[in-house]
Amino acid sequence: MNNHQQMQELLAIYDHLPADQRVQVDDHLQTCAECAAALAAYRTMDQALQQMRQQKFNYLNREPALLEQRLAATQPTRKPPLRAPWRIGVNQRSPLPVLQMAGAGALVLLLVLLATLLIGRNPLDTPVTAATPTTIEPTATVVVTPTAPAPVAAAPENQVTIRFATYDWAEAQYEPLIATFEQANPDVKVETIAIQELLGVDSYDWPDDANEQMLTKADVVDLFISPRTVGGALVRDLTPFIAADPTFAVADFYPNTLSAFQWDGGTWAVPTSINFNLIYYDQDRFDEAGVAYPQPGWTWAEFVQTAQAVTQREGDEVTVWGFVNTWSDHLGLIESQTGPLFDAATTNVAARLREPTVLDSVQRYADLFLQARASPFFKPPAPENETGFTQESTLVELGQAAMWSDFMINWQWRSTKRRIGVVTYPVTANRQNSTMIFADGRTLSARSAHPAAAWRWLSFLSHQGGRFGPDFLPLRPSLATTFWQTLDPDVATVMRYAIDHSFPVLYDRPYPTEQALRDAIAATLAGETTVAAALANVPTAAETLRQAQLASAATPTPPPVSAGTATTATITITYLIGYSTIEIGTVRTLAQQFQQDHPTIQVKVNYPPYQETLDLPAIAAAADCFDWSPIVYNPDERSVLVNLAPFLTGASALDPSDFYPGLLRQFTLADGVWGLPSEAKPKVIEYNKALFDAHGLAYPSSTWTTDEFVALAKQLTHGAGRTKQYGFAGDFYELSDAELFLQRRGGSLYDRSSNPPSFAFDHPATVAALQWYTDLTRGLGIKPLFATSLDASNPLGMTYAQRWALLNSGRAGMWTTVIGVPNTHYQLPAGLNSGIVPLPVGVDGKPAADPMAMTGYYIAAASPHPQACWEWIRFLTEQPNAVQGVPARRSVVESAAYRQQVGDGRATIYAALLDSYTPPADDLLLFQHPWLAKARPWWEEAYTQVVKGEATATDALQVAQQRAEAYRACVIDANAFTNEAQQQSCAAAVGLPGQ
Amino acid sequence: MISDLSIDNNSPPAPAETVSVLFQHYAKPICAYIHSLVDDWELAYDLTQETYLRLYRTRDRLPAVENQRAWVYRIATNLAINAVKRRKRFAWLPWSKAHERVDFAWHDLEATLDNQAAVQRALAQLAPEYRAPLVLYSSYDFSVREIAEALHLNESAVKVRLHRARERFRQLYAEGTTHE
Repeated sequence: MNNHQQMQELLAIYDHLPADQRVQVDDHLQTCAECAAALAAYRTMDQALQQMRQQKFNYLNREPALLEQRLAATQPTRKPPLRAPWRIGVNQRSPLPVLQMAGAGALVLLLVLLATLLIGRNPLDTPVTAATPTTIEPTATVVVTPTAPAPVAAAPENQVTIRFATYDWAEAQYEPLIATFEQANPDVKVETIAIQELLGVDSYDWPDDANEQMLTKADVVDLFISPRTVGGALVRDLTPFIAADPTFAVADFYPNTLSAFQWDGGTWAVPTSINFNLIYYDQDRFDEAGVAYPQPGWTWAEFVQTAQAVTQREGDEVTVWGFVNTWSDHLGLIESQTGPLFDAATTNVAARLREPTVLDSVQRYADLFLQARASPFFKPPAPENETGFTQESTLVELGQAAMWSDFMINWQWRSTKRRIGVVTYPVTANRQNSTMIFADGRTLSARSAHPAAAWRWLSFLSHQGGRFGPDFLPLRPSLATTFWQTLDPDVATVMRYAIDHSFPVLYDRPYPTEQALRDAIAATLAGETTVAAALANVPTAAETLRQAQLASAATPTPPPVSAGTATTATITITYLIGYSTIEIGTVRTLAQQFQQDHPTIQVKVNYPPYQETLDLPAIAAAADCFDWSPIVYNPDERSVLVNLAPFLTGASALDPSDFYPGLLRQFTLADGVWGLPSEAKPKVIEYNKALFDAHGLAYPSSTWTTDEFVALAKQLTHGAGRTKQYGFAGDFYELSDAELFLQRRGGSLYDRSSNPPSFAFDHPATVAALQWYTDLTRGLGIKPLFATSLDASNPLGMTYAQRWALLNSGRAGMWTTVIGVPNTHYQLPAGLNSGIVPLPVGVDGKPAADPMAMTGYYIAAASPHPQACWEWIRFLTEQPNAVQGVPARRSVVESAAYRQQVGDGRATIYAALLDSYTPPADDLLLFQHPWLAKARPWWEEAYTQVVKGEATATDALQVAQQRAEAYRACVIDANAFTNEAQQQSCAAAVGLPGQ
Repeated sequence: MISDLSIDNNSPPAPAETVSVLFQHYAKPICAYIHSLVDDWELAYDLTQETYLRLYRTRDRLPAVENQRAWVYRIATNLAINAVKRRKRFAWLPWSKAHERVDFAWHDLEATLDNQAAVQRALAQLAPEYRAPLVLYSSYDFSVREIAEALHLNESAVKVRLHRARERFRQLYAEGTTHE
């Protein structure tokens, strides 16, 4: 390479060059015009890419909901779990299965729909006080769009404030819109309030009078409405405002959106975005069957015929279903054929159920299951077993559906997983409009004191495009240009056809009748009754449900504690949830309880401000007290914390011996106690008691050995192929469990006898332990094989689904689980009777030291209220429900309340685990010698080869050992113990897997 | 009472489950970064979620990871590159209309800096192996060393890729070509 070429390469990283190289390059630039031009171009390129990044950030700031909700699904504790809204009691509405269709790919919508459901409770059990509508005096106010903001003006004396209620996760996205609106409308100030805060609840389990509360306390509300809401005189007719507002552009709405909110001569809401159902199909499955892809306008007969043709069977077992109703929305598909059974004009559903077309449609639908056998039916789980994810959706995830129903917004999400197409629901001879349009809207309270100002805000919002993100079709065609441009042309064609052949559907339906109808259809699909008999029984069943609802409603329930309760507090402290996975609502409730005993202290609970780098100093700067991980070894970081040692000896001291010692040690250094442990999350083995019982096996004891573990797993293993029952389902990342068992079998990855430490991959005990563990899969077949690495070659999501499918179907005798790590994607059925037991003891008969995640409470050094914070965190350590893992205090774990919460047996096991906790030696070693971790890829590679039968344990680990030792020698030679880049070079020089 | 406490100057680190907090820090930049690589918001959301899952599964390694930022970006990069390759199987950038020519001359770039769509299009036509280091370097201010760590490469390879990525990007932008 000549000098010019070398210089060109260096130009690419000019700004990061060390000084000596920079001088060389600068010299070269003096004489090389080509290089100078290239450098100028690179700088411009950097600017462009920086701007691109900022634009993406701006987008995410504007539209944070999709990302936040997606993460909430993965990290469930940041938001109310999906499970909660589905928990229904006799006095609660049944969730519409159609809402489940939003699925993991559209959780935003799901949550919104859930909210709607829970708002829209039956008025029979919710007497509504009719408000007297104020006289409407619409003004011809010009609604200014954000593209033409008026100059900032001082707030006039007659400025009015309107309150806008929306979901807590959506508040941030409205901030820039409010700024723009207020700039253009200086006489109006918009205050947002989270609906949860307004209702004084911490979840989506809203009170029965939620509608009334919201429309009493806010001028404009993100709300789904129905004729019953209007009948309660809670919302204002928008017709006069629309007529007087020349900018509103009534014609600029997609069909069945604005009109969905028009009845009885009024317009009761302004839609915000729309969504609708489509049928998705797996093109590979169609190709395998030699079946042509379906086209919009296909008939029901063609649909059934196609479903049969693409169904695949192995013997009697269906391996691919022709059609899967992903979210058990049987009623939705039937309504696509009959038209809406519940809408603003439907006054007598029972009468409609007697119509021949309705009877025929239900019968045809049942035939798809019972005659054609092209669609699977799963009995709806009991309310307490609802997880939000149906068995049907798992089939879709696992690729066992050739066609399935889903919302259009899930298209991009689905299309990343397999080659799919979409088509509209089938039509009938008499009914071409088979697409149900779901529109959500914003309403204006009938009690608003400033209706004209509130309308201006409403109208302004209607011009702001999609509410939730790029996958939602904005309500106005004029705002949807980008949506269509970025869509695949074939998909766009289908979606346009769907909109042109649509009809509106209301979310808010009379619970008893709808639930009775759903039950009737389910009974029909299960083959328990005929269609005619089932539908004829709907009115009776609905009345029974209604009576039960009324009886339940008569039972007084304590009123929710209002978040806005007036306080006499003289001290306000901010507590931030930085590290824990606890739900914020739970902590807020605890804060209210705390305030009852400490009336002078108000605790404001929140998450830390959203920023790119949130570290201990950053959260300490934003909070008076907070929770965080127990790593406080950096003296600089400790400087932002209050040393709690004096509090432990002060007037409001607590007994440190009440904490499990291994936990408190994690927060204690020679110079102080820097935090109070709050919880720990140990890993245990969970087992299916029913399977143990069925095989006549005794449940494992807490002192069981690995040999006993294998013996039990063997006896729990049966069958083969797709229905095989496994004795043990490990973690879906194989090495996570493998390393725990490795220790128990006497193996170790590191040799501590050397200085510096070395590796023990090929130590006979390690080889034998690896052989033992991989034999669970290869030799004994008692454990399925999941992901062996976390690189991109693993379809991790699929593995995850497969593991849960195994557990959910009762085909796993034992599996590992981490206490206190909730999961909303998949949950064990509530009816599954499981027990837990510590992992088997080691070869020496002692429990191995396993990693255990922990969290603790801290007080910020800058807080002016350390004593108040101390009282608060002290209070938290006493609450059994303040954590999701195991509480850090003995007295709490041993308390009756906690034992009742988790069960005696589990509490005893937790206590034993925390009592015996000592930090794993490997963790300590890696902390002291982090360079050792860079050899891990060779260990992972060896594991993969052995478990897949590509090498013997001896050979694979010998190779891993040789490479690790070569790496170690390189690190020693280069004295690179603290030079990570050099360590990386050493590892790369040896040759990393896949390099 | 403090005297009853067992003080251990050599206390080991707690096995860290820093994932929740760590990912809260990185969610937005990671999502934006992934979008730079895949040019598809829905897929970016999906892969951000997947990044979290993988990060969660590797949480036991976190105490030993000095540069957590590089670690997170490494997971995200692998996922994004893999996703792009999978998608390429049946359609190259179906959402980006990559077939549309980008008729900007290089010397016009400065004047069209605000044309982010054109930048994204040129970037999207870059092979993912080059796209990732260029975005990390130019957009996210990663050092060569950090990129090496994030992409599991040695530093020399990073330098070569950055040079080639810059030249290719420049060429793509100038030519408006649609082919890699």
